[in-house]
Amino acid sequence: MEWAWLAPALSASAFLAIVLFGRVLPREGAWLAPLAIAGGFGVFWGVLLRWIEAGGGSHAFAFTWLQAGDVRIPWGMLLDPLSLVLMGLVTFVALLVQVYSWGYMAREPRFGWYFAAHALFAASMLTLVLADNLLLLYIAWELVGLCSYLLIGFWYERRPAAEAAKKAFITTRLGDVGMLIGILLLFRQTGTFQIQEVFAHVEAGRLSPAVVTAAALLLFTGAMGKSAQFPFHVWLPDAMEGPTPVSALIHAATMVAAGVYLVARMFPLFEASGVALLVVAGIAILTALLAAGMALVMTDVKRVLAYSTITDLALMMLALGAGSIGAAIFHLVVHGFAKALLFLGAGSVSHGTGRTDIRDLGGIASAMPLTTLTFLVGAFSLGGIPPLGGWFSKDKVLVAVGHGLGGVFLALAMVVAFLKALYMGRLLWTVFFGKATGVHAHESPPVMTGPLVILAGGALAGGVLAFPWGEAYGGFDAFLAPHKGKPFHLEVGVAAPSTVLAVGGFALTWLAYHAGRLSPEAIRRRWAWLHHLLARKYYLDDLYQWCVDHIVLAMGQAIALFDRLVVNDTGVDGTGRSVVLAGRGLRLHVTGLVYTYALGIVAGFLTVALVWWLVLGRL
Amino acid sequence: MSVTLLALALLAAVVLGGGVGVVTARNVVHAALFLLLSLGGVAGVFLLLLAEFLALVQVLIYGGAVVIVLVFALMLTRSQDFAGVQDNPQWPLGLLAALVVFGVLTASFVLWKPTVQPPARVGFEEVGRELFLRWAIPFEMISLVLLLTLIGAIILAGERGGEG
Amino acid sequence: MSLLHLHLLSAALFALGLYGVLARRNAVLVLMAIELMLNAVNINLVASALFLDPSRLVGQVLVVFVITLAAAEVGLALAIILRLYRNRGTANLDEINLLRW
Repeated sequence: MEWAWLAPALSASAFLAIVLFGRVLPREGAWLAPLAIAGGFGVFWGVLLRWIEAGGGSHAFAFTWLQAGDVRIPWGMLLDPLSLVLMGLVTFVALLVQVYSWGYMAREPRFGWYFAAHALFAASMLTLVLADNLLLLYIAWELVGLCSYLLIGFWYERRPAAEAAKKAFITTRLGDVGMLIGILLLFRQTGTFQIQEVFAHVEAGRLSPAVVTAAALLLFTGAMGKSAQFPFHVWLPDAMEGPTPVSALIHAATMVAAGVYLVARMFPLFEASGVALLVVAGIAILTALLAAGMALVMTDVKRVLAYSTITDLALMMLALGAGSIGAAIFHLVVHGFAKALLFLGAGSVSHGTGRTDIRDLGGIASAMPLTTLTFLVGAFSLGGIPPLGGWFSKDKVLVAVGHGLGGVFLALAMVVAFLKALYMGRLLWTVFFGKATGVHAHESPPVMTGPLVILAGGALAGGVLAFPWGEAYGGFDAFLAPHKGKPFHLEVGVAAPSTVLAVGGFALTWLAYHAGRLSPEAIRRRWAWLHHLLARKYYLDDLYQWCVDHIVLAMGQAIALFDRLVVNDTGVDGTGRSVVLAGRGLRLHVTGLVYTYALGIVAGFLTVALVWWLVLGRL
Repeated sequence: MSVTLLALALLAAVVLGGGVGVVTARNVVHAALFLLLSLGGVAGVFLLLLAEFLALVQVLIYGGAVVIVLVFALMLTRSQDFAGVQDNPQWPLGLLAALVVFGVLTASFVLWKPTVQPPARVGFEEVGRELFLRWAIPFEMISLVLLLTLIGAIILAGERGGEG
Repeated sequence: MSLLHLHLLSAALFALGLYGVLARRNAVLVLMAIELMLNAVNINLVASALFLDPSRLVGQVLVVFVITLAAAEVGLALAIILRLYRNRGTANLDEINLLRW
């Protein structure tokens, strides 16, 4: 089981190998990355089997990395159900995405660098989910952010891509600062970075409630940044400038899930502070409502999916806020499959037609059957149509919200569920069915459709994981928390309305976009103000830009002025100039005439004589 | 006023007058002659101070050698061609400095009140004995210094000597 | 005649010589002024020997040395001045200022 570290290590080595030796390898050594991640996937299975043999539970392996006095910083791994689930998800989806990329990015220059960044990402993400101490987690956290920046800005020659990468990095950085402060606060109060030890301190009641809440909220800011919760959500839609497989892997299935993982991992801390959980839930439901609304008016396929991702992440956070790690992680897994599937499907569409605007696309189902079918599975799954995996995960979330947070939250969550069905339906019917717009389409090669099919299987059948199978597996909840989890059971009071809303949503959109019975145009005209607000993303981007322009850049200019005038002109140049001036002045005493020197000697003698006489009293 | 004091006053006039001539004359040869006058006056002072040997040496060396050499130098550097004022631009400062130095020296001499003894003459033999017995080594070294100076002067002033 | 008179004479002569060193333009004239200063010192030495030294000898011996050295120094200095004249064509200190700023 200790060999679990091989999984990140293999990908890290692949990264180094591609970067250092790519020039001498065939195809720039890009194939090293999928090979490494496949190895990682194999390692996962090995670790899983050993773990089951060992009877489950939580295991930790560490060796000391740095030691300064009493402070030990170990490099360690924590293997428990949570980390295993994430490890499996990350390795599997990463593998599929890299295989897909082989076809999608086939004609790209910098082919090797693309896969190198993928390998680095896999290594960092795996380190993150396996980390047993907060410092290592933070390091991996930042590395993952770096990979996101590198991959969003892969086509850095394009201005929007470069800007989007910058925006992503800066926005998440803001969250990361809060997270670092939280980590340091915990370190200061407990003297350790080890997660298990921090929990021990919390449980023993050695930390004041204020500290616990503060630390939890600070860590949550990091999670807000990575998982695109309000107000840090603005970077995710722009991140679609990156290649589609990147969006699928990083901005749907794995990296953005890191925030959810963090809260789940640090859950005992959050549990100990009721305020923190409430804040999490509040921000989550707000984000979900905002994002779902915006998804409804976007005209680019990937943008719709981006806002959908934000909505789903918010639902995961909501489940956590309601107190159920099981519901959140289950949705994380199913969403990982389904959203990756949808993104890869969008990539397939753009590969086959060269378009991504839904106004240009329509009726391509006949030309791209496999893509259409898999996309449909993914859309229905996330939209919440039974008995697909997404219905089960959504139901778990709703049940948890109802139990943990009460009626208001549940009602709002239902609204979100309805909106989800609406925008998914809109996307599905307009792009694949509906009137053909005459755009040329052809199906994608098997290297791309293969992963689509595999992911569709997961999105379809994910529900089975919710149920107990045999003695060893008591259902997903029980898997995660062996003594506290309950198997899936149906609560009709929640399931029925949500299913009705889902089906209704899809039906409505079918009527509007496919059958032409309802007119979206009329609706848009009637609610023009709302449409405008949503299309302008609630003017948040404008607000942020204003803040940057008038506060950040203004401060920057002031500081630059100070730097130029005081530090440079006066301090540096001034010192130099004054020396030169002094030199120019002082050199005048060297007249070259001996009699002036003689006068100097006499003057010196007189000075000494005077000093002797007056000060020393001699004569 | 005693005779010696009168004599001293006269000799002082000669010495100082000659000195003034040296430092203010416009004609360089006149300056040399004034120097001779002043040095002669100093020899007279030595006589008054009962140091006959020194008076002799003073006349011989200064009057007989130094002034001659100085005149030679004046001729070899064609100094008489540069007639006119012989002062350089900083003479006011020089005057000031000289006056201040004079003031300092005078003040120190006036404020210092040592116990004096009556004057007495020492003869040639005592001087000679002192010079060659107790001060033998410095005497020899002075001779060496003279020799070296001569050699140096020859080299420096030679046709191609001292170049580089 | 008292020691003070002689000291005053010596100081005056010294100051005169000093003025000459500082204020004269021709190098040879400067040298003459230096001779004046040395003579002032000699007067001082002899006077001090006469009035203050029991043996009345040390001062006189020192004067012998001073005179000797003065003569030597004049010779050497004049050699330098001749060299200078040959190089620069002048013995005027005003015009010799190559080592200026």
